[in-house]
Amino acid sequence: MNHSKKLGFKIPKNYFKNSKKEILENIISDNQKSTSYQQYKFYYLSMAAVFIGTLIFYNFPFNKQKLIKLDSNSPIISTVISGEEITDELIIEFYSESIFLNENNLYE
Amino acid sequence: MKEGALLKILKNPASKEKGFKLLVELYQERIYWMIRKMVLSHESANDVLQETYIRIFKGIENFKEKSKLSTWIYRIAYNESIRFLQKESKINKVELDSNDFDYSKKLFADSFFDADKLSLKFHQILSELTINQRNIFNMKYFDEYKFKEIASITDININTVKSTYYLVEKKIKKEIDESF
Repeated sequence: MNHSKKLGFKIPKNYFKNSKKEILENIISDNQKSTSYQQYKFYYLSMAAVFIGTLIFYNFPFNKQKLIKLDSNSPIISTVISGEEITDELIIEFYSESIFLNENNLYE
Repeated sequence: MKEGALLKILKNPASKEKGFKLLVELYQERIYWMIRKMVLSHESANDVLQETYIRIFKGIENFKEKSKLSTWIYRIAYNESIRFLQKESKINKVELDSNDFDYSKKLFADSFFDADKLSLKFHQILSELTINQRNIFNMKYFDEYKFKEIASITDININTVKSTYYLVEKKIKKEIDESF
């Protein structure tokens, strides 16, 4: 190859010999880094899985079923039960009644 | 050593490192000169060479053998050089393909550049070419790659590669003849 002659490119003395050594050292250290990263990745993933598992376990309802309270006076529920059509009057009537009861602490 | 035999050694985890030593020995100089002509300075070429080998080492298991091993290796080196030049042009806020000033600046800043009159003329002509023209010319004229290989490495149509090369070759001959 006539790079040096025609293009004036030079290289340091013993460059290819030293560069080969450097390349192989880099590859080995990079390989070790990625191997240890893979090992740590496994531990991190395991820890995350245990954490998520714990959260699910302690929040699972089992027998502590939460009962959903349905207000049969609410216009949506009452119209579903009775089969009537929901109207603006029904909604206004329900909310004005709730406001009145809340203001006078008459709920419950 | 034949490519097939080298691939077998490289793809076996137990002998991968040994195979890689052989691969470095086989291709190191050729890859270096290809990169050097693209990035120009020795320091940059050395950095790109290191990066290229890391990519080869990491990617060898996924090499599908659709092309020759050597072509695959040169393509990695080529792409790595292009990536380097793109990064460099972003930093310097210049267009990748319009760096005549940068070309000369990079050459003369390099302590491993020592040109005579003819070399300088050569570089002056090369600096006036687009990156693709320059790469195609360098790969054919200096590195003696086949047109098919150049097309595969650069991902440019083979007919475009051929016509580009002949056009550039003619231009260079004419300019050199006129100057000397």
